[in-house]
Amino acid sequence: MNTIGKLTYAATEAAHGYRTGAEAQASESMIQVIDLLAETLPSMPEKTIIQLNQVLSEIFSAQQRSDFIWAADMLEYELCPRLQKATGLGQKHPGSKRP
Amino acid sequence: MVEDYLAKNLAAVEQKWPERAREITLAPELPDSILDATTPEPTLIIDSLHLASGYDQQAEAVVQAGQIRKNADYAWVYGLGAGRLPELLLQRSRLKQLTVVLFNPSVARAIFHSFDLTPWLADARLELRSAAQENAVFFPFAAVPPCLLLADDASARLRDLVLLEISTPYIHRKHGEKKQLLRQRIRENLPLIREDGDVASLYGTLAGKTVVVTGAGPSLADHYDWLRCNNKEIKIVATDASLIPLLEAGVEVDYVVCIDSHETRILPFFETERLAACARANLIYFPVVHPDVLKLWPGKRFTAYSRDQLYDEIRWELPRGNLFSSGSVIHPAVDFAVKAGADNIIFAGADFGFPGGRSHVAGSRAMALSTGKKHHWLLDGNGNRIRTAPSLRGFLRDLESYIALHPNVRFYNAGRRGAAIQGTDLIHQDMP
Repeated sequence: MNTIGKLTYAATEAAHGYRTGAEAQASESMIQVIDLLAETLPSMPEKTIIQLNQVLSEIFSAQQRSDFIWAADMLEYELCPRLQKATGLGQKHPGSKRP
Repeated sequence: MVEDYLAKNLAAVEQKWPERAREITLAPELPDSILDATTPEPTLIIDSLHLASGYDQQAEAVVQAGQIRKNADYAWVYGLGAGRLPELLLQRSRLKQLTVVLFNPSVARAIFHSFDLTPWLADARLELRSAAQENAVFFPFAAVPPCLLLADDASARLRDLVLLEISTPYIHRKHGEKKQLLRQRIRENLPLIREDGDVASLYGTLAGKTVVVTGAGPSLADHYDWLRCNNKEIKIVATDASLIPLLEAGVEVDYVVCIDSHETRILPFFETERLAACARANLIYFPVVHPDVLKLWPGKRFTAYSRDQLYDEIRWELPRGNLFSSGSVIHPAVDFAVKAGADNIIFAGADFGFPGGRSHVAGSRAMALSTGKKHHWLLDGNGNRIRTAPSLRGFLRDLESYIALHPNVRFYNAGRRGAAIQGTDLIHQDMP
């Protein structure tokens, strides 16, 4: 599995943990997400980096206020599609009006 | 204009569950409740928490329903969300009964306003209950996490029990990862274990006594005067983190219990010149404790095991008494007091939360814990919410389950500032 594949897997695991109440497991997957992003981000276009940072900031803020469903939404429907788009693996997703 | 479904949903509930309908009707409206229509799928936000996905609630329900095996005849859902999880589960033809448990009638009211639940509320297999009336978690279950976080005071205990069940597989996995290290620690301690006593030799030695079990919560300091005044009449079983604060307050302890395998966390609990005052006190330890702690102890040492497989290798060669262990040192401490025969057990400083915004009593060498998020709370002895950490809430609920199994012992709480512990009374003036 390439890095984007691993990232998508870890982000989905984190999101599913948040949606089912397994907060500690989700946080562990989030650490993997952050580590893999640190590996991947430097090779991405600046515009993508800015967008991903905005999404990450939204995720951290949601985590901070224990809004885990929103953190899961950001991971699954904002972070993953942007990563896949940036690497040419884009897929359709429900689309968003935020953030 | 957004449609209001409250009357329609209440009408569907009223006939079968009049009590639920009454609770929801009488529940105060939540001021901080917003139906967010800016997301791809409208969702409800209460107190800054999204109750359901704003992108794909069906996909979310599929993930949550995945917690319940496909061939289940009975299932429980803790929390309501936008109602998609129960709706999805009721599509399973095999399911004979689905029990949905509500954790806050005001939250249910906001949900009833925002979503049309009538397509599934009329299902004859549905049972609608209030968490305030439930004492146990039933399996298999799936939960809607924000509904647990928004639990009302009366539902707090079931909320904690559900969260404890959800986190248990993770806790076991983490514990399993440490086992190799712990086995090595046990091997290191074998020469000392062979020399030391068996905790079971102390069973029955406190028959009829009043025993105080001390935790290192902030409220421990409230009881120093009482502990000093009654030091001769009572026996004190101190958890390791509470030892130094007690010694510094001039309180003599009789037993100290330690179970933590973490070297840097536990050693400071014993590194004090005042330890010499414990020459007549007994250390009750689990073989995973760092050997330096054992070597520092000036009094007699007694080994205890738990039922964990970890001890199976030495159980036959060196049999020792088992003490209840479920994550906190307060568990084996209280189990020791029970097995030693105590009639009355008083908890002092067993706070399981952060009264006054502090995690530990002044003078404790325990690492300060982050003093909690808004949605992590429990009720203190006065019925007020105090912040806590999820792990502490879990320890409290396991202690309460333990207490419920020991109806022949009277359990008391020394004060009201820490967590209200179910199964305890407040100490009275003529104790001990």
